[in-house]
Amino acid sequence: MLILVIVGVFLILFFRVPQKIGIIKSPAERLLAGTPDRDGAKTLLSEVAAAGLNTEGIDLYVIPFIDTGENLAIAVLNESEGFSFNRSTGHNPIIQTMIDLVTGDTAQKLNVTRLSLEYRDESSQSLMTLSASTYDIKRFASGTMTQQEFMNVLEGNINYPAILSTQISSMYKLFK
Amino acid sequence: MKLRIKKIIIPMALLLFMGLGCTRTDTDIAIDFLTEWAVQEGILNEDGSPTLKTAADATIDSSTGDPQTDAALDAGERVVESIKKADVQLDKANQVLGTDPPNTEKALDHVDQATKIRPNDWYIRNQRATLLAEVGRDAQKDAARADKSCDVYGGHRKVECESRVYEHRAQLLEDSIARQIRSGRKVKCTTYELQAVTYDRLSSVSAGRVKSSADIESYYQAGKRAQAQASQPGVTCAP
Repeated sequence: MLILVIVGVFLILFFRVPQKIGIIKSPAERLLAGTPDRDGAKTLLSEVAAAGLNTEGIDLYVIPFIDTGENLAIAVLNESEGFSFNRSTGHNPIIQTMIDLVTGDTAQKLNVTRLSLEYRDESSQSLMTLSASTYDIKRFASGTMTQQEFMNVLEGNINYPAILSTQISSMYKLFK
Repeated sequence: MKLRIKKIIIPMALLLFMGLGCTRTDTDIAIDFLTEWAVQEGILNEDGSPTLKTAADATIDSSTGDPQTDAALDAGERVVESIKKADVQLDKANQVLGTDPPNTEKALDHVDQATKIRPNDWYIRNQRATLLAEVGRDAQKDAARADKSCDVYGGHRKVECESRVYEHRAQLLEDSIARQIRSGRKVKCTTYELQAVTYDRLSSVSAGRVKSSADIESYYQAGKRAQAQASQPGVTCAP
């Protein structure tokens, strides 16, 4: 009986049941409950487009952290909507996209202190979300932080089943 | 089901497979980057297997220890989706408002949908208030809900929020008045009433910010003009 209870509690916590049924609010729901700055996001996207980033397939959101008033920029890179990486720069294309998004004047004016970058594949499945502070992205961009140091401060969520499904699908196409 | 794992590995067998493809797709680039990150972070052992710590992190501790980072990583699923769905409805509303003549009732239906998705979003509440006023219905409740959304902030940040709410609503009301005039209708009194209140608040809140006295005066005068227009139903405005 005790084992059943322990397993039950573990499963409830593992599947985040309290968050899903609304008993406990997730940090996102607590801290990002404010109204997004839609006009600010449009301005930021226009600025990075003018600077040369391919913004097709990028949805950008600027949302205030209600506890500090700083802003989070969330970029959803959607391959199914036409996003493609710029492969011609010296940096890794993902890191370069992060740099392009938050090192301009608009991001500074909007007080964007953190970037979250979600990647969606050609079937629009979310594969991963990476996040870093604007401060660290700028440090890396200016050369005061190595790529290894930057990788160490990156945080991420990986949608493992989606990646497996993408890879199995690629494998199927390759051997078909 | 989407298995949410903070730091997890890509099995090496599958990763090796990625190298077999002739051309690297953008998805390959993303996955390669993840792999590099996982190895550098010590999430993967040198042989590509998960570390014990990784297994523990993946099952028990899904927090990074910093609430803002957790929120940033969770935002896609929990926040962005709702904004995106609501914005689709706002776009549809704008489309039907752009037709000749504008279909305000249909636009209101779309904004109602957006409001249901994001009830505390002042940007949407302002749109609803403006459209309700445009069709002659009570708009004050939605305007008040929009204003109240700034209560989550304190001090100068609350004032800044309120200022943005009023500025946005003032612009929406100017657009609404232009739309009503353009379609040959007399502007609804409810639109002018809401405009008068909005400019009055804008002038008050601006007095507490770094705004020029000319701006404050222009808001005050705009509020007075709106009040005058609203005061004679049937003459200066449509009841």
